[in-house]
Amino acid sequence: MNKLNRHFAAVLVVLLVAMLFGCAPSSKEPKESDSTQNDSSSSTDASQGNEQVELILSTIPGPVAERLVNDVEAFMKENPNIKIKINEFPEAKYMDQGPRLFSSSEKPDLAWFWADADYKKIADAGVLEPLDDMYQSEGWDHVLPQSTIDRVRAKDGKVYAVNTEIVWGPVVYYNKAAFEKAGVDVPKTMDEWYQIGPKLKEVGYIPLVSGNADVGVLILSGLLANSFKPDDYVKLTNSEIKDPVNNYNHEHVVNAFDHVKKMGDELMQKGAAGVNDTDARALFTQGKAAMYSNGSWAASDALLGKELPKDFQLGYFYYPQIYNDIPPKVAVYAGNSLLVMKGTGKEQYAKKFLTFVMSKERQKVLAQNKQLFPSRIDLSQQDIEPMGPLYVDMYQKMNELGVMNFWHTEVNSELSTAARALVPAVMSGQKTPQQAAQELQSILEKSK
Amino acid sequence: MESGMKQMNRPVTIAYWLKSLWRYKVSYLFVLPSVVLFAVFMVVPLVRSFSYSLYDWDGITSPQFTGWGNFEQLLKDEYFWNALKNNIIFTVLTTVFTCLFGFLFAVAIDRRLKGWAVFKFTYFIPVMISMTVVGVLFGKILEPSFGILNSLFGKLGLESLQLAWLGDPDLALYTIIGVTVWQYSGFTMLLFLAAIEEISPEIHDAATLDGVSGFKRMTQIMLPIVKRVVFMVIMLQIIFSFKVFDIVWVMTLGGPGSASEVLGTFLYKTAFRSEQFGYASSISVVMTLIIFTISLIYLYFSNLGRHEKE
Repeated sequence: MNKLNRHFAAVLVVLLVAMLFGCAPSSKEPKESDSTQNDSSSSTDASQGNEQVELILSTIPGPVAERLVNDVEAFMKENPNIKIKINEFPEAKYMDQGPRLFSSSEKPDLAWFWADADYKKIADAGVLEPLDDMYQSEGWDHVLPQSTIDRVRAKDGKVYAVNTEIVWGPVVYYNKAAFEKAGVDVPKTMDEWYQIGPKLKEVGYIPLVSGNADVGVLILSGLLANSFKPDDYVKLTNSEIKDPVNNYNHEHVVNAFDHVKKMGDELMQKGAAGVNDTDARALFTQGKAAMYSNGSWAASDALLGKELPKDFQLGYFYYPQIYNDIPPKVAVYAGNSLLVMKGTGKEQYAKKFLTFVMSKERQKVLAQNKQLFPSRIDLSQQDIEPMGPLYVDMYQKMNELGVMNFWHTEVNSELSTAARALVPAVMSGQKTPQQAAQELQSILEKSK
Repeated sequence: MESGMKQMNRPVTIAYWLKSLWRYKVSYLFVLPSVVLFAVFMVVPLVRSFSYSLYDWDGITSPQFTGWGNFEQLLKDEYFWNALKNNIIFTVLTTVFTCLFGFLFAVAIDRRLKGWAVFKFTYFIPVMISMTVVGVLFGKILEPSFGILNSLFGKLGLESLQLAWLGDPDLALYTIIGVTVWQYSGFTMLLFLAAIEEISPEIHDAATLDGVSGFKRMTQIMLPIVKRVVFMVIMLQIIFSFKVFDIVWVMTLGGPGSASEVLGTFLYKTAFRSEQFGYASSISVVMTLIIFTISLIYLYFSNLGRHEKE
């Protein structure tokens, strides 16, 4: 029996070694003939336009999904032979696992996704359908800013996504009644901002709430946008540029982290580092907090628009000036995009939906429904007025101040992931501003 | 005897093997589904994970072979050591307290203390609730400004206890441990109760006649008798606690900063946020080796294995 056991063990070891060498990771490029599970419900001879076609569209819930639901319903009315099914994924999970989904056999036909570093990797891996022909045929190259188009350009020079709406921030929403009660005004500098904190506390409000546990990086992005002149900011966010500014030990970066700490200590409640965005917004809508920091999307009817009481007097301001010689700016994000997956056999139908969503008419409807802000720049003042006075005012003020891209959407995923943890770490005193800045610098140097 | 010895000395050839396989074919058939499931869901992922750990791979582009590079990087990674330290703290405290409370609850129920029937049900309810639900629920209860707990302390005049349970880096991990102990003490209670109720009533009667106190009955009579079950439960709790992920993720995401980061959350962030699948796989390999080593050491010193043979 001992010999039998030894033989058995030997065979087991051989099998394990074989599995080891046979199980190396591989990346597979989709072929034109690749089919997905969706094909079973669609006809291959759909070019006639008479056969029923089903498309799968993946997205995140909230304002984005609500908007897409409206677009899909309207599209299906006009195209009864095309059925679109929307799959919603929790935002954090989608952000983390979307790229793998798009490269797998379970991929959707269309996807809403963020055109960041991950998007470029997906595009370079060849899983997306190029849209250059559509930019020309639909005139998108004239109605979208050049910077927006360049953002979605991959290494091969082609574009694989189209920006469907823009968001910006960080925005500080405030309770006008609370400000009136405390006798304070909208701050124009950071010092003024810290000074209104105790006055708001005196009248029973938490001065400021923010989802530091999950979206705290927005605060850092906003502070960095106000800490550098535009050219220097571009250098900071582009790791390929060798310049003294491209160093996270720069005093302005350390100072930004200093402000993160100070905001936590002087404006937020005890334990704010552990509060998530949903709880933060709940404190604001329930009238317990005077200010709430998030992005422009929070003003939509899907979030604050439906959560605030009817008589709530909502105001807003952008992050105040930090340095006398650096005017404050607003960080804008034009990466919310629709992508078409390659190799599904239904690319032409997916593109048809893209044409529909990006049409001037649908972009106007987006504004009328007060969901998200349209990405087309050829809409008139009248077209965007239905967004409501707050949104329109935010948009105009943003254009007056000038825009820069969000820091955390421009840098590599390691830096943005680290920053997500560093903001609450600095706020809670776990790390000093200098340590946090040094950590970002170490990651930057490692990635070069 | 000679024919028996001849049988033992018979060479083990493939033919002999196949003959043995055929002779016990029905037995192998019954065992096959378990073996296949084990292989598919345990062995294959384990081997694949080890294979991935030798590569630098973002999950999208082509992998690059790095050999032991990921493991070398891991040893120098302060976040890894921080997560490991938190994991050890979590494992030790969760195991000690769930086993302790579980045992005490089981004894209380077995000895039919007042309200035992209610306790039996009440202590087990948390176990039936999903860990994710528990995490979300306690996230609301422990909210620093208006959560139920701090509001209650405020009403009772205990403002000094109104702490930032999940926002204070010194407290967050221990808060999560407390919630886990609350949830899983009922599970260990059930296991201990099953073992304790097997103790013969005559032993208890003899102890009563001898005038043994409750504490001595528990520690010197019941505990030695159910020793094997205790050792087994402790080992299961160690393994379970070391793999923790969901409750930490839901309650704090490993924060604030990395104050409550454990290996599970560190692995997840490394894989899906930093997109380093190879590096994340090396973390999982190390986790597996640690759990394996702890289990082996524990089995050796607890004599559980030897007891089986006896």
